[in-house]
Amino acid sequence: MTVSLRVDSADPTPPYEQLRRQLAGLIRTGTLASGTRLPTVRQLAQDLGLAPGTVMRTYRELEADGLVASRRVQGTVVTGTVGAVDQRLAVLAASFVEEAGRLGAGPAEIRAAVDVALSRG
Amino acid sequence: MAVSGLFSLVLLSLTVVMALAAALLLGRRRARSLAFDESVYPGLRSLRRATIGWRVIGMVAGAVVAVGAVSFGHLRPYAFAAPLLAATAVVAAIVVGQRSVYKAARVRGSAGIEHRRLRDYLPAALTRWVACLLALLLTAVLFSTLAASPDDMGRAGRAVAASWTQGDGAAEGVFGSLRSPYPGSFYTLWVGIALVLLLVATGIGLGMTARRPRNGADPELVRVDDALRRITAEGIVAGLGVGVGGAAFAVLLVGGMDLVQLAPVPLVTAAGVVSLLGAVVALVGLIGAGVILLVPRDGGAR
Repeated sequence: MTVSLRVDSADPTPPYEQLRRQLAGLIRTGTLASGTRLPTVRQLAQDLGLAPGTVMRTYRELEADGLVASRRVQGTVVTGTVGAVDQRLAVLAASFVEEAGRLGAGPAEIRAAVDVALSRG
Repeated sequence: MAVSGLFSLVLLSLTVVMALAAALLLGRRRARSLAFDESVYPGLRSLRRATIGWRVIGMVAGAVVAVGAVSFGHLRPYAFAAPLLAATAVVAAIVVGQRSVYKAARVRGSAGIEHRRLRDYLPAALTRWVACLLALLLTAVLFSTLAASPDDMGRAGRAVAASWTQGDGAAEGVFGSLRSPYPGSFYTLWVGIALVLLLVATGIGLGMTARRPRNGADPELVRVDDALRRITAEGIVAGLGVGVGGAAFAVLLVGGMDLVQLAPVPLVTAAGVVSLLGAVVALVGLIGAGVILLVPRDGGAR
């Protein structure tokens, strides 16, 4: 599957931020799995027609968010920490909702039960 | 030099003429088989035209350079380097062609998340074969440079000499023999310089082939562009093979003939025979690389 990136020059959002949002979204949804190598700064900048510094800034911000890591040999790699947590939470939530449904609880009761559990810390 | 040099020149010229004819006929047919909607991808059309066109231009330039190098200078010092210089012209033309359409596959603001590596485009078998030819050339040049002597006019590295004892008792005598031209330093210095030039051009060309930007988010563009990159890389490696194989063939053939005829000394004769066998291997490599250079494949595009 080809994952595409787009930078719109008419968009007032700076190009580095457009890129950062797309990549962060792709990582959080698991589209870019942990261990995926991102293109080199030079390659992505040339492909998009951007300055290398723009792509470098995007990668730096993603690294600061803990979504990617820069490694000397492999380059920039998706660490997938956030994506993995999100995926685990989604599985737990689905399981909980299914079990609660069997007990005859509706959406409002399920939310209330979660709130109570959260308030207990 | 006269007979073997002329033989090499005739062989090279014949090979080049036949290759150009085949390239024009078969190459264009193969390139047309790389089908895509040209109205949707005008950039790819330019890219395909440049990929094939500049390869043919390079071969014509290479033929001119080869003839010039063989016939230029007192005692033809560049004769053994001629295949390498010709190949440099071929590779340089391919590089110019790639440069002229460097951004043809790019759509500003659109890219795919992909890793383009040179090894994905290199023809594996041909690359290994050319590496073997390079090792053969380096071995041949090293041996002939070390074995060479000054010629009868005292010019270093232009001849090969041997002395031996013959006869028995009072009739015993020391004999000597000298053969020139021989691919010693007088010639191999230029072989070394031309080889460095060719390797630099090859490195630039292959690097450019992998780095050239594109819109990796469009699968159809990626399919055609990948095929064109493989055709380009194959042309560059084949060009290197022609240069290296041609130079190895020339050095081993002339050196081997000199050694075989030099002296009735078994070791010298054996070295000459080994050299001539190496020349046969180099000739096979030269012809193989030449055919691939002349007839571009479809790059694996389906």
